[in-house]
Amino acid sequence: MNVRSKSADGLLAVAAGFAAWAAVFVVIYGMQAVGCRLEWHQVELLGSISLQRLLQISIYALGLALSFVLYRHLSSLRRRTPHDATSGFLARVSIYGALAAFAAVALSFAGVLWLSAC
Amino acid sequence: MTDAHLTTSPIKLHKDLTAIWGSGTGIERLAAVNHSVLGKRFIITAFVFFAIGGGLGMLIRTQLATSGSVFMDEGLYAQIFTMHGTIMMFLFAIPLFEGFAIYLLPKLVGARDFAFPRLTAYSYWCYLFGGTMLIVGLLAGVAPDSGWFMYTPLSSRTYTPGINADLWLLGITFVEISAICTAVEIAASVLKVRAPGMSLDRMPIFAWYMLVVAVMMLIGFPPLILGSILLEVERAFDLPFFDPARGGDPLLWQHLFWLFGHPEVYIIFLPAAGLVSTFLPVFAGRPLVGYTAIVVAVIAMAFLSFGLWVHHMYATGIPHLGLSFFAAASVLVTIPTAVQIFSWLATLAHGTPRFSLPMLYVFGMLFVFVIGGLTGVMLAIVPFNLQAHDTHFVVAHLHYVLIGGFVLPMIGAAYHWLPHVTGRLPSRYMSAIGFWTIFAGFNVTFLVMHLTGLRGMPRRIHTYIPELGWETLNLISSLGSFVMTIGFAIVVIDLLLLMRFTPRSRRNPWSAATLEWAMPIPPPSYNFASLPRVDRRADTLEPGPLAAELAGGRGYLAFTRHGQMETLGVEMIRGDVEQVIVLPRQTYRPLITAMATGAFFVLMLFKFYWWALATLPVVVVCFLYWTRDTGLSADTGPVRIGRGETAKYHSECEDAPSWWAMAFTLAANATLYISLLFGSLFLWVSAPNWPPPDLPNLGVLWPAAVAVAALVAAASGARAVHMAGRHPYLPLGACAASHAVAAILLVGIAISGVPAMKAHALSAVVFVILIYLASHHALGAVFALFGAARVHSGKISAIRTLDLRIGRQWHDYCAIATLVGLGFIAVLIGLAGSEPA
Repeated sequence: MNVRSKSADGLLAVAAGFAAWAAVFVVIYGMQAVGCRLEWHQVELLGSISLQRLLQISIYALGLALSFVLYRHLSSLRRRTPHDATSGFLARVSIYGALAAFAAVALSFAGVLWLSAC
Repeated sequence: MTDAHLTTSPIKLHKDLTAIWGSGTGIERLAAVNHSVLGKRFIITAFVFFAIGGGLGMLIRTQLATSGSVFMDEGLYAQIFTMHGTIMMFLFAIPLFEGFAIYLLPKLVGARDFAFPRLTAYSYWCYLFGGTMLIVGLLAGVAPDSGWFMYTPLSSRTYTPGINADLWLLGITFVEISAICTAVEIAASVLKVRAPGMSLDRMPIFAWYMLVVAVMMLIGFPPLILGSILLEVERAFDLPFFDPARGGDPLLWQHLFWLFGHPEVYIIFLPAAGLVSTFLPVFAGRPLVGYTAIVVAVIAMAFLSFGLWVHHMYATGIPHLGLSFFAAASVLVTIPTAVQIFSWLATLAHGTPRFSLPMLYVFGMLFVFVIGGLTGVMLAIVPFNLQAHDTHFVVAHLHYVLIGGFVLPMIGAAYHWLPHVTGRLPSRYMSAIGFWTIFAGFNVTFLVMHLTGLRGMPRRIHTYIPELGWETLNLISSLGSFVMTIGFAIVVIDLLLLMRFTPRSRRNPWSAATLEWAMPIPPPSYNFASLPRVDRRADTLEPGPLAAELAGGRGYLAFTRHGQMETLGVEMIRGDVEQVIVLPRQTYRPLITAMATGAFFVLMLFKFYWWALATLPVVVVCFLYWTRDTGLSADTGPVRIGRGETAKYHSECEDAPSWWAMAFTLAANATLYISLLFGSLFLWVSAPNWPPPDLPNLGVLWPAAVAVAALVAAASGARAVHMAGRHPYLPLGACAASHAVAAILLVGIAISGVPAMKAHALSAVVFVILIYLASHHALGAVFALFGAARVHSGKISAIRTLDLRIGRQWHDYCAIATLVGLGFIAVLIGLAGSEPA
């Protein structure tokens, strides 16, 4: 790994948590629009749950899992890697950011559980 | 020391450095590239536009002071309120914080200048020319009149047939070029051009703020640039992106505009907050509390701000679930905002605060901005928003946020750094009167306006009847606005007087602990006679002793070498010395290039489209001419930098700032492209009158040939880098030829495979995607030929590969964009074709 990619990794980690939040946002909002266009909310599966809602809840659950795994990964990385003041600082920023992003995922997209999609 | 002119006397060192770094006088001022000069120009120009915008605001308040006013007719009123918003957002707020950043950042991080001084100069000229276009339009009576957000169809050719809307679209795009250039400059410079030892955890907090803001600008501004291009193309050539009768959708404009427009609020707020986080601890008498928490909060804010643009569009019929995402993000963003405010309060609580002049403005900011934030939370809630939508309640809210979150802290910052800029200390008496007059006038104007809005008064109406009961409230608002204007006038008079008449200030009059005070005031053109090594957080330094040490030449680069402007580049995480960055000297080239760029926009405005097209190669040639005297003609290896250390020139380093500048430029470019693709998909999802009766038919063979050519170009570009020391004319030639083939084929496909592009939005977007790719391949050919020219001139070797690696970034981007674009077009046509017409 060259100097540039090592440095870039350190910087990317501080934004990783909320980058995951943004990715979930794009996928879940995009899927809502496409699903409504293709009328997936009219396709009923599992009793009264529509294909649209099932997919959205799945993305929501995956997003939560992804955010949590990222938070745990960054936390364990910090414990495993010996660090000086600078890497300690970056690790703290990354971990707090990932934790905040996990909470943001949980709150931002909870509407998929009950709100009308289309 | 064989290659450096060793200077022993501090006075001689000062003279030698001034001779190299100083800007000229008279006409030579136009060649200035110095960040202090350009930062001041940005700030002064922004305040001039602020005065114009403020004057327009007074006209608005005069018109609305009484019912049935005949002061202005509705047409003129539309121009006035459109220009008020446009000037304040695009010509005042953004350039003002850019000016502060340009002036302060290199000093705060211990550098002699930014990484790309000519880009800063180009950025300034684009801003000045673009802003001037708009003001000339206002004076000529053809100013934009569709609101500062230019909603279609009002801004479409049908309803705005004159050049008013074109003036906005072209003028603002011109100014946005300036903003993108500045963002690239700031991001690359903060990461790479700092004092040795200044690791990321030691950076001044303002550098963190501006790094995040610069990245936000790179992501936030391209959607607006795209929207402006599409709307201008629709107006000029009738391609129907926003026309629902032909498969377009006005809501596409709203999405693109607000995808820029709401992050823009935070892009404006964060630099002001960064300045407060820098100067508030000075008056609290202790370092900032919660440095790490603030960094996390700023990053969180940056992301969240991109997830709440639809709260400007709650009334457009978006499904409840979609609204919930944006409402949640709108509420969540208050948390990182509050983290910053509580950090400031904690800093004051744990310190020994002095209530000096800049702190008056911090008090004003906290009072006003918190109220604006609370009404913002109200507006984030969908049911309330639907009640208050497009009323004066929203106008009151946004002024509380923007004046509280930007104007007041920026004036506070101006007073704080005024001794630095002018060498004179502000006097409290008149300044305090100015503050209290602004504060009182502002609250009278806009607190009352909440009530006007809650009583139902819509925005943008030019008059109202007395029976509606809005007259008294409007009259109070108008009186308050005149008081506020008097306050701003007092501040301006105060600033002018103190620059002339107050006694000279001692160095570091506020006893700050940051690097910008470790130099004489006003600062010399080179900032530091020698560069410092930073061994602790950069807001806990002792500028007094440090200044003496640096002036005495006991830092890095305490000499001149070959008449070069030199500063140091560092490894971006830890701040270890990595390279000697040789900066370009004073030159008229940025001015000439900005004039050529301006010619394109003016010719477009007056509908000389072929002439406009012909100016684009001129702009490219102008930029190429910038490279004439850059780079090294031979490998030099490490050179001395003082303190017994050595470093390579940036041309010989892997991680030069210009590599990062290209990466950031491509990030902005990719954002524009992705916005185009998502916008096209949005039309399929939401626009009426889909599918079109006739689908574009690109075939398979020619797109496949384009894909192959793009891949060959990328592979050849990569090969050229590997062969850099062995005259790689062959791969560079292959790269240029492949790009040229791809460009020609794409233009051919666009013309032959996309008939009737005026008939439906699908054909229009496919055509635009193909032209986007063709233009990129054309530029790719230029990059490859430029690489060959650099090889020929001896600027490339096995070690000096920077120019080829920058070209490679472009070639790789072209290949990826081409594959994605062609695939996307196939999917979009497939989706449209799968439905009955």
